Formats: sequence, structure tokens, C-alpha cells
Amino acid sequence: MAVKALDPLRASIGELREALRARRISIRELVDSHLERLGQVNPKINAFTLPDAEGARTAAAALDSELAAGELRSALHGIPITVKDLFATRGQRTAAGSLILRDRVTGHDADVVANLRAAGAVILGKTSMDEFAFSPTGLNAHYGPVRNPWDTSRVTGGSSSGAAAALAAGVGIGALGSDTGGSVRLPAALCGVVGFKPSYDRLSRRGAFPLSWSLDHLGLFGRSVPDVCAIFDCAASAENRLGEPRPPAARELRCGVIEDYCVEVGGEVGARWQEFIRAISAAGVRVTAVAPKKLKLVIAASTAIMFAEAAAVHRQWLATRREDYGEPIRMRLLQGALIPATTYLRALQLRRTIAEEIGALFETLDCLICPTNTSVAEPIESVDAKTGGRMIRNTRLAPLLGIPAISLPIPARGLPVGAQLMGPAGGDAQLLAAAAVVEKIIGPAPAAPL
Amino acid sequence: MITNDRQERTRMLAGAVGLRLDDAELAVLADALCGLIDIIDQACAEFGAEAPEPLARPGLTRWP
Repeated sequence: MAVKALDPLRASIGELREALRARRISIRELVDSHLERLGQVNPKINAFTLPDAEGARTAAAALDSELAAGELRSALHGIPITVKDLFATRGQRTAAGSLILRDRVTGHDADVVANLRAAGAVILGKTSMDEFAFSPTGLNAHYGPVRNPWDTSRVTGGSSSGAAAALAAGVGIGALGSDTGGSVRLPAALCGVVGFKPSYDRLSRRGAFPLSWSLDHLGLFGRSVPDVCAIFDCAASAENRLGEPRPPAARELRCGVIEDYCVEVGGEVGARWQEFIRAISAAGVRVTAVAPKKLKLVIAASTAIMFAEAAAVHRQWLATRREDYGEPIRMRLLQGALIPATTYLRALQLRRTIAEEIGALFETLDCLICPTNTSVAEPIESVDAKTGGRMIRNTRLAPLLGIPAISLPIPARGLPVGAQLMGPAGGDAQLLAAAAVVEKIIGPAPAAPL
Repeated sequence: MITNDRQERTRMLAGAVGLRLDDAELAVLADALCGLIDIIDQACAEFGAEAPEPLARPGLTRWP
């Protein structure tokens, strides 16, 4: 039987594991191919703040030795990944996209980084991000914009901008990011890859620089749902792994389309979304419309909580280093610092009441669905703070409520559009199983042309 | 220079927490900040009767 040619930059984790076991490729060769690709594309997309070729090659050599001795640590043994600049990595700079932390070197790994290293993942470097993760655009006043591999004149979305851009450009098999208002799912959608935000605290936040404690989630990027599941199970602590949920049949899936999130979207997004609904309906998925009345409170509640909590993190620097923030971030932090405690607490009340209404929907539905992005990636020069707010309209609900959510690329020609699926709190495994079913229906996304 | 009621409210809030704002910052912040406070107040007035207490308990590690 002919062996399928292996593309080390685009193969799945399962295909790479088999190739490594069969000695069709060494980990060093695999890592070198990704480092070479990094060197080719990074000048065009600005996805990395700190490539780490030396560290990656050292890790690859050690993991090759283990493999030669018959030891395979996990599904991620020898798999190249990238890490957002938000996460502490031992002995390296972790600037969180800021000028203020430009020279900060952390002496430890974030919990998720330590877990991924222990599982045998090879870290190719730290990826670019919006300053302190406090923007959804992929622009950064200090280090320049990250550019979309589908069209380098356009934004990637953020704040995990470099993570999504690198993966879409063929650098790394997966990526670690964070999501407070959509910072994994939006760039995943705009760059045409899968982005998953688990339930609140399902992945340890220790070692990730905070933006907003009660909204911050870690998240993952991959090229398919099975790849995301494999990375998740290596990033999570033992008690938080997914287990093996029974994949539902398509006709068993009950999806509620959030009507308010399907209006005021760009023409390309609307057309692609209709194609998506037709495809899953034709496959037997039961699709109904839902219109929760408290959805209109989401943006205000999320903004008040996020801005107030972020200002608490930055209170000292706002007094002493205000000029070292980029303009939009500085203004958001000042706004947060002036939000009265009563407004913050009332926003927490609103969050609870929204959670009750949305939670009730999951009594009869498996997933809530909507387009992830409201428009395709915008030209860089046209994006400002207001555009950014519109970009994440559909992604703020899930982190506000702590519920799991995933964005899948809808395959088609043209700039990428994502389909978002959300599940009930703690239902991560069931949501991923449902997403795998949907992914099989709609098929794999094409690779970026870069 | 204070030019309207929202800027005056913003200036007073800044003074209350000891935060210095220049005129340009005040002009940019006033509408966004006061608008947000007003929206939250209106939302609570509309839904307040059924709003449960916020989740802000010590020891809470999982949401919701």
C-alpha cells in the first residue's frame, strides 16, 4: 500500500504521530521544517515577538532520543506549537505585547506551558499580541500590526493575533492563546483556523498575565477539532481532561441559531453563514432560532466588568507610566479606573441574570450557534477602536458566562468566516464532540495562500 | 476645561479616586464612561427585580 506523502507543515497530529513512530521523519526534521517556514513568513506577517530556534532544536534532540528508546510521552511528543507572549516561559522575556514589560524575564513556566512541555510539545517561540490583550484587532502601537496570511494588507483580529496568523501560515501544528472577549475565536475565524475557548478555569490561568480575572480564559488553536482536543488534553491538568464522550449522530444534534447575532453582518459573512446552515440542516442537524431578550445586556455588562478589573491590575502603572501605554489601551484603562464600584457590582448582577436565561436554553439545545466574525478581515488602515468593538460583538457572551465556545472555519473561497458553537458550562467534551460532527459535515478549510 | 455635564461627572469621579486627567483625556472619556454607567443603571432598572446577587464570593473558582 502506498504511503501518503507527509506535509510536515499541514499534517494532523495523528498523521505526525504515526510518521514519527514509523521513523518516516525525525522530530528534529519536523521542527526544522517549521523553523524554516517561520523564517520565511514572519517578515511578512509579524507573528512572532520571540522565535526560539535554539530552544526548539534542543528540545527536539532530547525528544528524538526518547523516541529512539521507545518512549512516547503523549500525543504531542515532538509536535511543534507556539505560545502567546502573555504566558510566562522560563528564562525568557514575557512582555504581554507591552512596552512596560518589555524587559521582564520570567523565571518559571505558566502552568499550561509546563504541562505542554511535559507532554513533549516543542515550543517554536512566543507569538505577537495586542498590548496586554486589551484589544481585538491585531494592531499594536509598539510592535506593529500582525498581518493576515490570507491578505497581508488586512488585520488578523486579536488579541491572540500572532498565534492565529502563525498557524494559518503553516508555522506550528497548534497554538496557545487567551480569550477574554473573543481573543482566540475572532482571530481563528479571520485567519481560517479552529479556535477553542473552554469553560472558565478548565485550563489553569497561573502564569498568564491577567486582563480581567473573572473573564479571562486560556484557549487553543488547531487546524481541526481532533487536533484541538489532543492539545487540550495535554495542556489541562489530569482532572480537567476531556475523557471520551460519545460523538452524537448529526440528527441527534439540536442547535439554536442566535438571531440577533446573525443580523448586521457583512455580506460575505451572511452568505457564508446561510451556506453553513443549509449544509448542517441537510445533514440532519436540527436547527431552530432563538432570541434571548437579555442578549442586549451582554456588551455593557462585559465592558464594565472587563474595564474595571483591568484597571485594578494596572492601577499603579496608570499613575506612574501612563505614557508607556498605546493610546487606545490607556483610554480603556482610565475608563475602567473611573467605573464606580456600584456599576461594577450591578454589571455582575446583570451577568448572573443573563447566565440564567442562556443556561435555560441548554435544557433543550446542545449548542447555540452564530457567525463568529461579523465581517471578514478588514484592511489594516480602516480599523480603529470602534471597528474593534463591532468585530467582537458575537464573541463576548461566552467568556462573560464562562461557557465553552469554539470557532470552526467555514470552507469556501475568499476571506475566512467562522461558525461559532457554544455549549453549557462544563460541557466542553460534549461541545467538542458536536463540533467534530459539524466539522465532518462542512469539510476541512483550505490553507491560506501565503 | 469642563464643557458639559458628562465631563463634570467624569472629573468628579477622577478626583474621587485621585486620578489626574488632562483635558484631552477628559473629552475622550466622558461620553464613553458616563454612557456605560447610564446603560448599566437602565438595564438594572429594567431587569433589576429579578437580578440575583452577584457572584463575588470568596473561594469561588469556577463560573457560574
